[in-house]
Amino acid sequence: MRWGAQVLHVMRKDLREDGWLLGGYAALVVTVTVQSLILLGTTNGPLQLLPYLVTLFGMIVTAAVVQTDSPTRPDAFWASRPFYASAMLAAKVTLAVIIAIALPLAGQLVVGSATDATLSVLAWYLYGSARSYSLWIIIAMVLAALTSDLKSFVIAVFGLALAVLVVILLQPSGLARIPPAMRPVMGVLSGLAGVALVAALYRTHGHGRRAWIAGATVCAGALIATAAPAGSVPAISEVARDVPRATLRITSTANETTGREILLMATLDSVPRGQHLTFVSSRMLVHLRNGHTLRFPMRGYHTGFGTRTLPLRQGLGELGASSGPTFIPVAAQLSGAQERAMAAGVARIVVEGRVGVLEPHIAGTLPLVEGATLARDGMRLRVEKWSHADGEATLRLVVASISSPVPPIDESGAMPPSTSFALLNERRGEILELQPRGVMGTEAMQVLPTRGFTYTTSELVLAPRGAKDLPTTDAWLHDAKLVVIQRKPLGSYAVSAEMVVPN
Amino acid sequence: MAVIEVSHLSYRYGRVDALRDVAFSVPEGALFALLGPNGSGKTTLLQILTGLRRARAGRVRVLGTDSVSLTIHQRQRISYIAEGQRLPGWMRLEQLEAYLRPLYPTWDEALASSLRDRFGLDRARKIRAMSRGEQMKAALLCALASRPKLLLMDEPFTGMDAMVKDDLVRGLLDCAGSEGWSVLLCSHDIGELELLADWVAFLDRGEMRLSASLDDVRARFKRVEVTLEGPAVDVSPRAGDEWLAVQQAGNRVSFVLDHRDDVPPEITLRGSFPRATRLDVRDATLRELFVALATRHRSERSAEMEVTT
Repeated sequence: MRWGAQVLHVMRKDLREDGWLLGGYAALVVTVTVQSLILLGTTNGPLQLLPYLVTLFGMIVTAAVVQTDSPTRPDAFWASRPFYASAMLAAKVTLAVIIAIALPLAGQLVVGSATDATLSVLAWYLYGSARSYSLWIIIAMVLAALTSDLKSFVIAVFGLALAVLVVILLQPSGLARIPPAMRPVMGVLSGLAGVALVAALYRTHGHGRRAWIAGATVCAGALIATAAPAGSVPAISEVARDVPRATLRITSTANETTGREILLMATLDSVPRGQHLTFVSSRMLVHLRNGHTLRFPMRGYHTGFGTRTLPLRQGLGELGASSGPTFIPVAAQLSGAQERAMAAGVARIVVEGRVGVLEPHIAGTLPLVEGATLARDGMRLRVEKWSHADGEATLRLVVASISSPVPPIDESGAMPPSTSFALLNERRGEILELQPRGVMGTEAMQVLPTRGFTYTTSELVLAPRGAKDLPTTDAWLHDAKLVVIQRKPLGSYAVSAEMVVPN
Repeated sequence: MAVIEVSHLSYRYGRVDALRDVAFSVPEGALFALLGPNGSGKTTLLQILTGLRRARAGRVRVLGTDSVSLTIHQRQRISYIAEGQRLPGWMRLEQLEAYLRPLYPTWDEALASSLRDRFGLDRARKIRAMSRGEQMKAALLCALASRPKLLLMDEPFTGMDAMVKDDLVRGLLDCAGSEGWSVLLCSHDIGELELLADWVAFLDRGEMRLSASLDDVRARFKRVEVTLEGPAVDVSPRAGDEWLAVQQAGNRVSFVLDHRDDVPPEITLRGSFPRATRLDVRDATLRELFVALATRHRSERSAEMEVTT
């Protein structure tokens, strides 16, 4: 019997031997997938524990498949038969990959697809799930190979969990000392080492102290790696030269710079129509009259610049749009020495930062009917509540979205794609951007206990409290429909502004 | 040609010596009985022979190859039945046969069928529903149907009733005897193997005390019982190295004689016991021999320890 035939021969046997267990696991995965689809966007309380159950069950299924032909039990049936040890390993790994890993990932894919996410976002989401879940499955394979039955496997899993807990309690900062960038590398190395260890055990049948030490090391590395971020995100690129740019202007006067703090107000001028901007202040330079310069690194992040940012078609009038500028506070704390240095007198102050550019576009529209849903671009939203009376309206939206990686525009800020909502009255040719009254967000797990999915419940109103009356009536609201506006990052550019302080 | 050749084999579990400087060989076609009490290292030795454990020191060759380097084709010619062999209980016997058949190019369906009939096994029965004796028969069936060149069995008769043992022994003897297969059988039940084996080895506390053909053993080791005339006299000063496990009760003396001369033992013994009223000499049984060898070794060891102390 050739190698490949042996792999299939063993897999067929395992499918029959562990058929009930594998079937039960598949049924659980299907059930969790279906409930995730049905309850997508709903914070489903105790059902959020189901992904952990899938993980635990997946580990047990993997352990059962490995222990069916234990690599370390000398009385294992296969051990004294003419099997290729590598074929035996290949059969176990293939079954673990196909059933324990691929099945729940398929479930994740189905749920992710329900949000109409792009392929790249879906791929990122699945990669994050596969990476950490595969490590759990490899931990299960290693522990199953080292133990003789399911009972001792479960004891080993709990022992490992307990050991990790003790280490965390004794060395709470120990994990933080491992650079986050190292953790994905640890994941890859631990995964490879885990498979190599199980391969070695299948070949040598060794189960002594050395095997346990190697197994514990691999499992510890894999456990640490499961806490790693889902992958590095490429920094957002410089915006194209032909994209019109805003300018930064300091609006404060020097008189406001007193005491132990320099507090300035700034704003962005000449915001191009149709752009939504974010601003991150990175540095303040204070040039003194004696020729010295004080440098203050800063970490300020502000969003929401840009007037008329709705992607309006010709002839559509925007209601209630603000026309005034938005002011940004830029503050620097002074140390005692800096405060004394300031006595020499300030000649000028420079604020530097970076502007991120987002391009709004209409992702979709849906009728204002409770229960109406829309899936678009990695987001599935549902109208949970819609009521209006006397020209006032309240809208509650539940959004389930795959949080794609957030590209940083510099070290101190990020530029997430953002979503806003508006009411469109086609007959009147008018559009009104809704204002959030309250937003509640939570991370949610689907089939596997991995990050990436966010549930947000937004309560939206026609205008902020205290705003002047809007020219909307019940009839206007009755004819309106909901417009979903997404703002996608285009890029960023550096800005700076200078304020000269008169003598 | 030897199917198994072992020399200077040692193995340790932590700080405990399981096997020490073990050496023996199994000739082709032999029915080799490896005897020893529980914990003597038999199972470890068999696991090393099948490549399930790696020797710490020494040389172990099976079918002419190092036991840890056996190719898949060589392993197809070896069958091993472990002590308390775990068979996949969820399978029916026919499924077990179907699972194993493709692994062995030499699988003999006719032999499997005849052994099934002979052992009274039901193909459609699940392994877990079989009694322990039936499971061992099923294991033997699978081991023999592959027509192995070498069959290794570890305590195959433990806990079985006489009928089942008889079935197994007959089945084994018929197949191995007629086909010329080599069989290495481990047991702590010495009496069981006396009628079965043509080669025998004694393993005690990890050391090989003896390894020889049964004919040689019978020719060499004699059970001697002497009745002395007159009052009891301590015979121990007369005892030489060749007297093993000497026991004296009054004027009756018994021991196992390690007889290496060409001179008939009766003649030599007459010289030692000129006033004996009765002198019986017969072939020592394996049990008597094993006890004698083990007793001598232990007394030698305790004497060594006393000297050391």
